[in-house]
Amino acid sequence: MAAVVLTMTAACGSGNPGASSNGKVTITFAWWGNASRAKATVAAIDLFEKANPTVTVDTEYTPFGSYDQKIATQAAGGDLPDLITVDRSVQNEYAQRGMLADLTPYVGSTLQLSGLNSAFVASGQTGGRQYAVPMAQNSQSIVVDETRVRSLGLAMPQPGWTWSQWQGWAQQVTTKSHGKYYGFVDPGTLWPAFQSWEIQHGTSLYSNGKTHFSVADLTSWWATCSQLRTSGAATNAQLTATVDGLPDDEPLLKGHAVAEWDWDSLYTMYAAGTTDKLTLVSLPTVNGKTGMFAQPSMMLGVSASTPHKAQAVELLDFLINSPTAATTLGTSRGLFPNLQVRQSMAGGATGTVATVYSYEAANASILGPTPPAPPKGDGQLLTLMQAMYQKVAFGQLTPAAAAQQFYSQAQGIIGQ
Amino acid sequence: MTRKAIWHAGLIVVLVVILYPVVWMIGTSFKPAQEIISAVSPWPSHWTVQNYKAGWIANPGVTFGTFFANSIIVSLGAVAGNLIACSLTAYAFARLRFRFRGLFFALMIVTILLPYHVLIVPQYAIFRSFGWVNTFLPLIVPKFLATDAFFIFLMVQFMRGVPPELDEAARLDGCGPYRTFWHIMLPLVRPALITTAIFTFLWTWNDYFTQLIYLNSTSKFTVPVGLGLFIDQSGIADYGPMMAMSMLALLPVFLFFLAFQRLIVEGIAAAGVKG
Amino acid sequence: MSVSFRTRAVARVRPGPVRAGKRGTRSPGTAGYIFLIPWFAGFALFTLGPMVFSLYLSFTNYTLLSAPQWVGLANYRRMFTSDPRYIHSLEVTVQYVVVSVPLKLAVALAVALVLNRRRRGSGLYRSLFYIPSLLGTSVSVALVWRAIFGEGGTLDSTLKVAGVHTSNIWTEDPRWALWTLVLLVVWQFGAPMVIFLAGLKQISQHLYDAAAVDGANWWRRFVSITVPMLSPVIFFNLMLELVGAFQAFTPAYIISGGLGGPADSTLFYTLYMYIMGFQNFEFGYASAMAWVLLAIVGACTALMFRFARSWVFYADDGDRR
Repeated sequence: MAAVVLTMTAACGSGNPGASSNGKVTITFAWWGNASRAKATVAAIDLFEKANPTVTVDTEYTPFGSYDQKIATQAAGGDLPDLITVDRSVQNEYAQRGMLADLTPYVGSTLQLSGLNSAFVASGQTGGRQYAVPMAQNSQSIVVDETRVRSLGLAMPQPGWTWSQWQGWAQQVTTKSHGKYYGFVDPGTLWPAFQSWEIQHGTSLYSNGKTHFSVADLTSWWATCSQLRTSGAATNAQLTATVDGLPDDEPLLKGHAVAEWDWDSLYTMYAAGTTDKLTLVSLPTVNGKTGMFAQPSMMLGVSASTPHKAQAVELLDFLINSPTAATTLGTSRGLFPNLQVRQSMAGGATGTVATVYSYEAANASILGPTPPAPPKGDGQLLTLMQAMYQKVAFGQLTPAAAAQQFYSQAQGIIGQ
Repeated sequence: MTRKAIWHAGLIVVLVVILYPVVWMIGTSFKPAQEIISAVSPWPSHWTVQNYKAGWIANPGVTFGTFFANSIIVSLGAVAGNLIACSLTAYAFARLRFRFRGLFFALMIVTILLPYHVLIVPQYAIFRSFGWVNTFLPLIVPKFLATDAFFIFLMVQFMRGVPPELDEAARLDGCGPYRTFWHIMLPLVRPALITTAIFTFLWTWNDYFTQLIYLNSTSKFTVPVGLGLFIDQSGIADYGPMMAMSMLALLPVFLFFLAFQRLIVEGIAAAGVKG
Repeated sequence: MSVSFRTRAVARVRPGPVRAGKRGTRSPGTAGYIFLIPWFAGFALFTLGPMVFSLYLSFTNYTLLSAPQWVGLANYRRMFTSDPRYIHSLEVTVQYVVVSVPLKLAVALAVALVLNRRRRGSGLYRSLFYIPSLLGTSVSVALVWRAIFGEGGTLDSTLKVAGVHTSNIWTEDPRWALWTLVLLVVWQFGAPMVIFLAGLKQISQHLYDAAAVDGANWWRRFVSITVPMLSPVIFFNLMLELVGAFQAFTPAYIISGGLGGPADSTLFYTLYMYIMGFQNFEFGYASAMAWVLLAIVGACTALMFRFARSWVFYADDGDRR
């Protein structure tokens, strides 16, 4: 029995990855996502393989929660896939650690970046060299359940509203529904929401690879969120604590709130979860500023240690420029980076996808320039924010005390 | 008569409470998508097998059947490994005398104490140097080399529960340690062997983290990794198929357990310890 | 088989020196080593190296993505002096261990005792009680748990029936979240239950019959026969549940989504270690945490082994340490 099992498992052992036999090269491409994204991606890859018969692509995909750990383990073991999807918050870390190949030599030849917005492309640079390329674009939005809002006899929130206008409106939602729904999901745990807040106030999260936000900035942000919460406009502490990025946990979809901060690329996911009509509205403003910008939802990078850089770059170029790739990949990651292709796709878009396109089109003029990639450690601040604000929400810390703790910890984390 | 009835009744009441979550899971697997998020009652108002169909073919290129097959290979392999290696090792610690026995026993216990998360990175590097990444080998071969100290310890305890007079008797008959092990000890600790088999199968069947780290291609994924694929920020309304596949995944382990737990009872009866 | 050997042995007692085995080609010492060959190989190949390496890492800064840098005792110092989250994770874990282990073992033993009868349906009942443990700690279990203890969940509905109105989301309430995890773990008492059952079956019915003849009641039989005869198994279960509880990871991971929330109330020790190692890429710090855990659990284990002599009864009369 043991012998049988061992033989079977040995037979299942993979051969030398990337081995060239009859001139064929095999590369691996890794991404995170669920099964439907996998289907779309594999279909796109099949198209690439047809167009490039000398290249075979092995795919690896895992759920987002486990992705970074798996990549880190593979990196430590010297086993990185050739083409990797890179999360924005670790992009600089990977680049500085020498995990990603410098793509600058390929730009203009195998790798065509001219069809993308230049600031957008520049966000993939570290120290002036191109280490990563954005794979898709999204921007910030507030998802609003229009059906529920109208059922309460209220008007929809308007683009350009200030925070206090939003608060007033949200309070009305809570009152009119007799506490059944909150107006707003408390955004205090969301690091990207704080980033927009900083831009709205004319400053930024980071500068020159170090933190640029101050304790006062963070305190005012958390105080505003707390106010939303205590005034009844936003969800209570327990509901706020359920926000963890997973769609089915979103209070909007569970029917606890009618407006929620999220990336617009996730709109189709929200829409699939309810029969209500959902609308996208731009962020609340401060002095007319929304703090919205074109965000790369994820990056693509090539492993520095792969012997097949050229082929990996070819696949990369295909995934960001090819019209067939665009149609097959769909919008689960965000809008296609190549602007011309995106335009032609927008023309043919229908249903919930069309909503995302029209939202981006309507806001194109107010989108700020893409900030550079965050410094090393940014991902940790994301989770630290959740932990810290939950303490504020549950009354264990005041916004000021929590902001001070957060700030001191951030000093130890960023730019290490 | 009434005592028996009370025994049954009491057990059933407790079971209802304990199994409620499982009932909820079964019910959810038969609910259409809209009902899953909103509904409070465990029973579907519209029964559907859509989730089972969708879950089966959810991933490109493979069906959930592939995940099942892979899990069976890995789990059975692990069972074989543990049964052989752990019983041999336990016998040495429980019955044989040799230098440094105490030291090695302590070392063995220490291996249970270190959390596996920390060991996995250097272990990954070792397996990679063997070329075993993306195969089932890292999940099975260590079992054949007695790395599951939990079961070594389990068997040691059971073996120490066997009266040494039996060993003595065998020795007087001229049996060396090997024959004593095979003819005397193993049959007498059959409950421990069955327990080892059951738990190894179960824990390997449900082991997410190690299988995630070592398996890269979708075609090699096992059930827990496959189930994890249903939950991701990019998707919604996959809870139905996930529940359906979880229920299917429950079946083999339940049947495995049902079949073997009886042997614990029969094994003891056959071993003749009672009288 | 054992019966036949026994009678043959009795029939064949003879005077004179008894050698260990007529074969006599191996001394008693080497048989042990031969049996241990698989373990030696496994230990050397897969355990020793990683263990030593992780100990080394605990004295370094290691991000997984570049070479480790030696920092001496800095990690250990940081844990105990400048990391409140670490201390908090210790508190959470100790609370969890102290409550869940006795509770789980008590439930497991109670159910095993009740099921230890040759009644019709025993096998089926055994399997049914075991089902929760079969589920393991997968995402589907997290879903159910949140559905039951979440907003408008089963617990809330049940309490409403009893007249208690609350819209508490128990899994998101820092005061209660940990206890929902304890409940989850105790709910999965199947493993120690099966081990107890196996151990109970090994207790000779003779002893109970003799005691019954002597007029001992149920409690007396339990205390004087069951507990002592079961003591090696109790010890085993106790030790392993204790170690397992200190190392508990997956329940907290799946219910809190890997965050240890809400407000760090479910931040188990190994969860924090995992966050530091795999999410914050401070693998050296995580390794240091692992070794501190080993020291703590090792100390508990050593204490237990020491005290075991006073209450654990082995058939081979404890000729060990």
